[in-house]
Amino acid sequence: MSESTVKARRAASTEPLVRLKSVGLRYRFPSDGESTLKGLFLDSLLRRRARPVDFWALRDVTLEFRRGEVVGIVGPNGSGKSSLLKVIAGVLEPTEGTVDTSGQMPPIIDPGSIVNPMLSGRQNARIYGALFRIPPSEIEGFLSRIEQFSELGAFFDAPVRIYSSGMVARLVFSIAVTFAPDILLVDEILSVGDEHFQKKSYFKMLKLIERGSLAVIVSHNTSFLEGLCDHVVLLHQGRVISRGKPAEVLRYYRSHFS
Amino acid sequence: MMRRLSELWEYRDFWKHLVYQQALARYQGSLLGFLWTLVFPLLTFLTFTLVFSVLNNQSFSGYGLYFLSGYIPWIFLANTATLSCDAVVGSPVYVTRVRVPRALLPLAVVALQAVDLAAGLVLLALFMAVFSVGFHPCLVAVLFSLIPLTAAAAGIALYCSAMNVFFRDFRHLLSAFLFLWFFVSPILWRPDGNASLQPLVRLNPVVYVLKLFQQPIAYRQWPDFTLFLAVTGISIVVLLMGLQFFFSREKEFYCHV
Repeated sequence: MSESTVKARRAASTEPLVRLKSVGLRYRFPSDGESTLKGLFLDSLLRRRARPVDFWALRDVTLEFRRGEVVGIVGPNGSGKSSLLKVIAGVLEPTEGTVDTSGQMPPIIDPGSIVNPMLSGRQNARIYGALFRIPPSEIEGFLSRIEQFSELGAFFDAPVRIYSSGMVARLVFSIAVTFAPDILLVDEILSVGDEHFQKKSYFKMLKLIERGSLAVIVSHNTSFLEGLCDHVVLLHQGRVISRGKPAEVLRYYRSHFS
Repeated sequence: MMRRLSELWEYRDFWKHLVYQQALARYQGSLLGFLWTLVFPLLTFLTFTLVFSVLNNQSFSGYGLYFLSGYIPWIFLANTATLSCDAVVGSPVYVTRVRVPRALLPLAVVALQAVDLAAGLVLLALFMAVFSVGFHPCLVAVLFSLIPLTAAAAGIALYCSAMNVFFRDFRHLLSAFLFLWFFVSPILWRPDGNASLQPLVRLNPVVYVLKLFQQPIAYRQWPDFTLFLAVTGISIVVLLMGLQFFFSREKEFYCHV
């Protein structure tokens, strides 16, 4: 299955899975790092007024993603790419604007972050299952699919602390695509694992997209995005400064930011 | 509020996993690990009982039973409060990377402390067996007293875990405060002994909770039913206020962890 046939066979579905309307996300930090009761006490005693520092990670972002689309997100470091994924996944509530989503939204941005090294791959998969709110009656079926896809063999029942980093990546990717195949939020996930598994996970993604999943991919690998995406969104300082056909947006990105 | 509560209920399986993972980390996956966590409370109990039964000129078993009946619920409340301070701050990943009701974190601390509470009650039963204190039907009341105790602990845990997100020195202040509160409360000493202490006893809210345990265990009396109802009502209010505070502040956590 080549990329062009995937793009061609993708149904021209118009059902939006994700809709962001003038979304803004503000970080408000205390001016002196951590706030304390002691600080509060001293401030009121000395009649100081601590000014919090505001930082808008996203501002005025309006986007719509549909079924069967592959969307690439590019931008320099700190431009709001991960914040955008967090807002889409519902990890963070936007400070202003609205986010509407339908479909099984993955509840986690970076699935590797809650892997417990003391537990086996299977036990970790169970925890993710609970996080994805898979009914207990269906969990066993999911587990055997994860076991099969990850190709971890006997390691699937061994504690994750003895895994290599590539094996962890395989486990995590298998969990993500098995539990929430509707919407794939990918934050540079394909850069890990060996060549065989990279290919395998790439084709798995293509297959899911062909079946109507939405993929939102954050990556610095522009040639990878150019080959795969339907359109690309360029973020800079939290705002969408360009969006459209991958070739055009990426040309603009390369000429301005690299 | 109702929407948030039903969401918490939907995540109950994940909550169980959280509790299990915390238990695993704490007890290192072994029964011996669990027994180790009992060493310090046991040592505290033996030291206090030995010293104060001599000082107060009372029998070891009589004083020990009184002390234990107040100390077990007290230490459950105090430990839940201090340990829940780390519940959110200690797991920033659940705030910044995962979409999950964050109230599960302090509630997992409550569950883990409830295991210790159960261990304390087993210890109490052993103590009664060793000193051949016979069974009395009013001991059943202890099971009912656990309801308001747990509700209050959950409310306190929610409140403390959220406070410590915004003020990192909250836990130090709390520890100091609890240390003083322990000695001011009638746990080591009996409330009826000294008339000048009465105002102190009457104004101390924890006294009423402890009474629900001290009366059946140490005095072999059924606790006053109106007292039970009042304490239960107030504990539920504490729980609801804790939930309300946590839910209203949860949105701002990501700027502070």
